[in-house]
Amino acid sequence: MRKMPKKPAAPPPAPEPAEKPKNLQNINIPDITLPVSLAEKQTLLKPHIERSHDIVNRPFTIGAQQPVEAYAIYINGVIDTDAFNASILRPLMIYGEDPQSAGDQGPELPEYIARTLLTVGLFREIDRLADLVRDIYDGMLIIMLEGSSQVLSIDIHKAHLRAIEEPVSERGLRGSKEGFIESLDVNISMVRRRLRDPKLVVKKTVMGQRTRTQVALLYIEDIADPNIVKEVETRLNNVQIDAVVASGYIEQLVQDHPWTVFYQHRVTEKPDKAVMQILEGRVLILVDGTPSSISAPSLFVEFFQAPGDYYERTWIASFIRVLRYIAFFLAVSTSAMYIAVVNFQPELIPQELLVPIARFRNQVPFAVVLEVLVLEIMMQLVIEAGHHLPGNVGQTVGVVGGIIMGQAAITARFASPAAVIVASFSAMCTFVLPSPGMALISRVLRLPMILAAASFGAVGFALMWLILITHMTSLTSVGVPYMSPLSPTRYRDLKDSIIRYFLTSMKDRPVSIPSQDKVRQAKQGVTGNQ
Amino acid sequence: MTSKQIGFMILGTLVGINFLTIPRTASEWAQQDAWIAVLIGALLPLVVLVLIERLGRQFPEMDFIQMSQFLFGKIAGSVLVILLCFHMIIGVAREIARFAYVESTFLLPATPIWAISLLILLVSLYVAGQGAQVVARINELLFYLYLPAFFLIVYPLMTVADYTYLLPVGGSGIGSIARSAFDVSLYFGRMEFLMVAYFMVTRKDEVLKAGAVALVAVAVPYMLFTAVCVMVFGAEDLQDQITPILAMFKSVAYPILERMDLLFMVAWSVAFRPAFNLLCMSGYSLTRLLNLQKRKHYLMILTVSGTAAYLLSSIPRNIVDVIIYSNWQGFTHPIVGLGYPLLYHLAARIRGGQKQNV
Repeated sequence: MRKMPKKPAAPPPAPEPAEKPKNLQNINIPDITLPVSLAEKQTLLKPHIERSHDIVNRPFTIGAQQPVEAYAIYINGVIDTDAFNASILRPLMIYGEDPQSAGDQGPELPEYIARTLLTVGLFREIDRLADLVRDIYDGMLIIMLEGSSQVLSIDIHKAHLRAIEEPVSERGLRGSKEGFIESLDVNISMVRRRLRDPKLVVKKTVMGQRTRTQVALLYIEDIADPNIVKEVETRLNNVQIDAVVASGYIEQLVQDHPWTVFYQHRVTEKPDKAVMQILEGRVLILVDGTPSSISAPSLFVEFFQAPGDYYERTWIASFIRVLRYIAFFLAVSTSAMYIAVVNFQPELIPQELLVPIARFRNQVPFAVVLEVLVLEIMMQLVIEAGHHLPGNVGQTVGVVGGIIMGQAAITARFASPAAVIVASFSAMCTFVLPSPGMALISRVLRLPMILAAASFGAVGFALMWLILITHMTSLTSVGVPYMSPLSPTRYRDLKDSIIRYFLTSMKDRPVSIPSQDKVRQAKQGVTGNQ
Repeated sequence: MTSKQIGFMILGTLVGINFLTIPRTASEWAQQDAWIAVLIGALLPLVVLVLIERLGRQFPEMDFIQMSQFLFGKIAGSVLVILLCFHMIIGVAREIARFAYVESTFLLPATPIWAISLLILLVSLYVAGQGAQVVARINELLFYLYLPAFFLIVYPLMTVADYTYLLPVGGSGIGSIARSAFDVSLYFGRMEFLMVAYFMVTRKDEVLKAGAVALVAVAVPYMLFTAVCVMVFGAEDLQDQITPILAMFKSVAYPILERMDLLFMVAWSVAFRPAFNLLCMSGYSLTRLLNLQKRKHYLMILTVSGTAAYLLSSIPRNIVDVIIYSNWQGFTHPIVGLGYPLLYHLAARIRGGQKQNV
């Protein structure tokens, strides 16, 4: 794997709101003004950093004629040491001989040296202890000087980042192969590169009192519905949690219905997909440390859409879309249908097929439902094992689990061939789905379907689907009906739901997602500014 | 609720299990003109629709409970609301009982009726418990899901149907057609639920149009199914079929799918929309009438109503009882459907007169 040598663009520190929400307050750090004396500053700071042995405290002197004592404080391994030596220490220690420098500047010295000596882009001055401690732990380089209560907080982060690669879980034949990585700023830049709209708003905030994770909200100012934006912002601000380790936390903390199995926010690792979502009036949430984005609101039909659909011919894209819906239905239903047919309605099976099924079933000592359940659990274990093992080994486990164990189960009369085919087919259908989330859901939903079919045959199966559809219809995502445009039916949006209609005909943004600017294409086929 | 959704809800409430038997009833007197009887029978719900819509226009700011208490006083108005709710609960019981017996006959012969009824009730409670908006959306979605199933009917038309069975048109006589039309009109009952649902619609000016479209969407397939059944069996043989629609599927060999009748029945086994629609409306009305909080007490009221419906549905001892009870109950639909709006119109006129005098 190629390593990225350096973070491409050092970001400014996260903007501070005028009045800090409760979740942004520092834990047990007195919010007092820093003293002028360097020694007093160190004394004040000591209790907050003395147990962190990775924090480097580097004393040095600025200038020689009127020397000023100074300290550089930073976390080892977080800052770019080359930049530190070349752009900060060298100018301050060697070139800081200017007669106008040093003690003449008094309390204005930090600002003066930042303006005249330091060759770095991003810095800010702070004079509060709480800000100082927080900036140290945020990975800033801190320069403290004798004679001034102002302290310089300089951003020269250097992180060893994973290279930009194609997301493993969302591969496509056509279109961009780029995937988000773990750096928030790189991810934002990937969106920016594709969406050079000055109306694209990027709002950053910090979440998690202890992790202080940067979270960014992206939307297009004149497309996204202000109520949706406000609602998402309010939900984010209301989150009071000590740690946000990944975007999954945010997703679950801001969703409408926490108890449902369905994901109410589409997660994607593909920046091109994320840009499409923003362009449809959605709000995108990016979280530092997570290589994926969350969009709000999200609809059920979105989980069957892939960026590649829009790059293919309409007929091909529509065919694949329909296949995905069929795959979802079969992934959830095949095992249950098998039980219902074999146990309750064998007359539905053609005579020629019924006889061999009955013959093999006769050799299996378990009830159909038990046979299917055991195979399902085996299959789920194989899938899970495949996910957690390295690439080649995972494939081997898949082959061993799927073919050899299946064959062995039939030979040992542990399962009938039909049941093995059903379990394998169900598992295979889940892999057709473009959203890993929906694939997981289909695996979970299989179980209640099996139990319903085992209890009431085809009637139980049909009723369980009714319950499922009702449940899905009752869901919302940021207040938007989850099953829209299917229910409530938005006829115009059906162009991009079960099928993907001609792009030339999709002149408006989806009405299912509230937005300010509905027009996507000029009516005469002319798009954008000429 | 949107006007479009009320249209789908009307459609869902009118089309229940009786869909399976309508060709036999329509052809009993009208013979080959059964399809004409179906169209005429559809006029009854149209009249009910117009009456309720005209009534609702006079009280656009009120709901059913407010309107009842305004027109008849608190006590008499409340009694009328409770009576309509009870009528709807009986309708739920009828639907549960009929579905349970049909499913027992075709799909679950070994499962006891009480278990099937309970299953239908629990699912109905779940759907109704999600609130009127979700119920309306489910009706909408189920309509689209069932739409392809209706095209299956075209297949027998191409293979075994004989259109000469429909001839001579009008040959059965006006009296016979009228008699069958009356019988068929009972199949279009339950329109009275609109007394409650009308007031939930945001664009009330579109209700009449949406309702009329829904009625056409019910009447045309009913007419089509009836005509096809007559063309397949002939009017006389049709009388020997308890569920002609299923029998028709059985009589035609579909490619690959050998037992289309069973598949159709499986798909139709979730079509007890009248049960959850009426349950939702009665639950909503009772919650409002008792001045209870919808969020807190709606589910409780629904459970009580559902339990009552379940107990009523367990009264018939066999399928013959179910048919007899349901036929009798069917007569209450035109009485309530026409009687309630007419009574309210009368009261509104009297109240209006009083107001003018004041």
